[in-house]
Amino acid sequence: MSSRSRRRQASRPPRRGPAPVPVAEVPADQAGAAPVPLIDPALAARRVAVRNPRGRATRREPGERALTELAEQTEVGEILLRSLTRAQLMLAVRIFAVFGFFLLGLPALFATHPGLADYRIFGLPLPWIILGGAVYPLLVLLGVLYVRQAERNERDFVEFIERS
Amino acid sequence: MSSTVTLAAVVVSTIATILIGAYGMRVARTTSDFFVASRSVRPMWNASAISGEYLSAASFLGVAGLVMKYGVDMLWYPVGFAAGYLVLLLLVAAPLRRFGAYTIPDFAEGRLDSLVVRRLATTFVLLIGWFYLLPQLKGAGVTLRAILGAPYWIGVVGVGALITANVFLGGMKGITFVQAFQYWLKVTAISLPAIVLLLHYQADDSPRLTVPVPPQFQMETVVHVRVAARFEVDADTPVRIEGTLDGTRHDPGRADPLTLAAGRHTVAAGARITFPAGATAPHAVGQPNADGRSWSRPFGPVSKERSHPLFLTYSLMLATFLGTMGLPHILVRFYTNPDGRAARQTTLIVLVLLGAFYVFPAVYGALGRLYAPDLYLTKGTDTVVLALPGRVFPGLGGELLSGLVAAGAFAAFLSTASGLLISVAGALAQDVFRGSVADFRRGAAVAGTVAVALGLLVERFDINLLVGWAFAIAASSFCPLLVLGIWWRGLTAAGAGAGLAVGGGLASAAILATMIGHPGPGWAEALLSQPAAWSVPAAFLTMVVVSRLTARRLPTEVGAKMVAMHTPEALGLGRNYRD
Repeated sequence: MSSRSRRRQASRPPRRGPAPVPVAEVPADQAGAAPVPLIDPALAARRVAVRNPRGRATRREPGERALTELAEQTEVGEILLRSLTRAQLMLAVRIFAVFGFFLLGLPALFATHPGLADYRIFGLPLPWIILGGAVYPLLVLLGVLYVRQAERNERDFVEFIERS
Repeated sequence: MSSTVTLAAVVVSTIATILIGAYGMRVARTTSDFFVASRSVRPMWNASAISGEYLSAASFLGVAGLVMKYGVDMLWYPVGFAAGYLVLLLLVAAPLRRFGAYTIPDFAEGRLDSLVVRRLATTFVLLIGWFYLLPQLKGAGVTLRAILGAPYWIGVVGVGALITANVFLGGMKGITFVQAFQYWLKVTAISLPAIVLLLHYQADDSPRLTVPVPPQFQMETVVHVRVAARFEVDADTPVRIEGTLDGTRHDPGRADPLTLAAGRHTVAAGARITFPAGATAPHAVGQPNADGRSWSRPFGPVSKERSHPLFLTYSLMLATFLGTMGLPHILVRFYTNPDGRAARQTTLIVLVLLGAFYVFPAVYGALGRLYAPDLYLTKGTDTVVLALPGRVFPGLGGELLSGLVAAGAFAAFLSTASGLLISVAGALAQDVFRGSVADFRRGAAVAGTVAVALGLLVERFDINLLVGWAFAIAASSFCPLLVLGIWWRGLTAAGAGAGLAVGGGLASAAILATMIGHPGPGWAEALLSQPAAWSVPAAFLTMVVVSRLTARRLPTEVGAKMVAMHTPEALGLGRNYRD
């Protein structure tokens, strides 16, 4: 529950007080001159209005319709869910492809290019460097990329559902 | 190595394990606590616990021993053990947690509404769990023999009894803390001595390991033969000996100088052979020493002993990449995450923790070639991690480091064996008994007893071989079940059941055939001893084809289950499919 409300808050635009009209920094040699507004005051006022576009009205029924479609697995709900699972699966496949390209390629590479064992980094033969150490940061990196994008997909999904 | 420091370290590590377990016991109360620690474990704790549970005797001792024997090719084991978590992260972690089942049989039943598939899954949990317990107990027996000179059965029965009692009393809450502690103990125990050893190697002018000569004794070395051995010397070697060699008794105290002729020799238990500095190390019959050049290159010594090494490498990769997700003691840990996001975070931290650990075993394997080449003679390469600090640093410093690695090795069996025992006990309690706390305890007692009884029988099998087989069976049975169950609506109970039976059954049969039949070199041996490359595709194919044929009998509420598995918790659509 608490994570739900926290998520809501995070997705809301940051609320500020009545926006003061931005004022340009005045260079020292022009001190004494009147402050010059960067934006026309009328325009600035309009921008405040744009920041809260009928927000209250939509938030009263946060995505009731789409949520119901999902919960009751209507055809629409199924299409919505498929869009999420497809995105997540495609992401997994993309990461898997990078991972597979490197790791599954290595034995074949070593078998066909025995000369690679003569390359040395910090005095250690290349295969030892790769399998003994370099592989692990690569795994972590791929993991981080995956988690970031997977959570972004889910955030987008939640926002979409709550908006519609 | 049988020093008091080592013994004290093992005792302290064991007592700490029991105390932390007891602390957890006071917290654990309800059935849910016992099974999955109430799902209240934080990612860092949980990741430490998963890593602690995962780093077994195979990782702590086996990898270094294999690297010492076969070189760089064996690094595919730890790479695969770690990469399995990336695959788990990509395909399984979050959805499985959101589904809300405790164990793989729970998932099978909840997802497919089939008691038959549940029972089949339970059978494989027991099979994989026990298969993986055996090498742990074997490691315990071998380690206690190496550090105390105790008979093999003492370690098996002692460690078996200890973990059974701990699981019996503490359940999993205790175990979560114990496992997390064990990870940090293990990573300290492997890294600190390794760093000191590397500094010594540098101070020793870094002798080249890749030159084309077989391993040699760096200094005059006394080899204590604990178990009778048959070995081979490649060139005449002057030695001194006390004890029985080739049936001739040489009196203790006199230490006769004599020349070991090139060829095979037999030495009785209790003998002491002194090799001069610079002598080429003898090797056990059937395990020729590779020269440094071939040892340091891919497809080195393995290519000489096994046919089709490229196939074996790929099959091992497949087994470890896909088998990790199917290990029953690992998956149960993912239910202790509060939600799917935490499950992902946990897996990511596990990748970091495992990577930090797996850098070190290779150090022992490589330096063991240099500083402990007598282990080739005694077939003791599996104990190189334990032996090396004492060989390189005589005196108190070496004893302290030996004590540290021994404590780490003990942590390795204790944690992995405990985790496995919990899964096996849980499966027994839920599916054979009735599922109460008392049944969980009864399950623990039964599971521990069976494991010890079988553990006494597997002394002759190599630790990593047994572990690799457990991975192959898991990859051929639970991997397809989980991946298709999570991502494919079309999976039916009949398809899943058939796939489990075909994949898991074929892999198990191939492994049994290798254990009993000893097939000769050639394709048959390669295919049977590393079956994953063909048994995993067979399992996937069977599941898909049979599901298509029975497409009219889809499980109920597939849509709702997909929603529960894949939608974020923020939408509040999740449902616990355990009930």
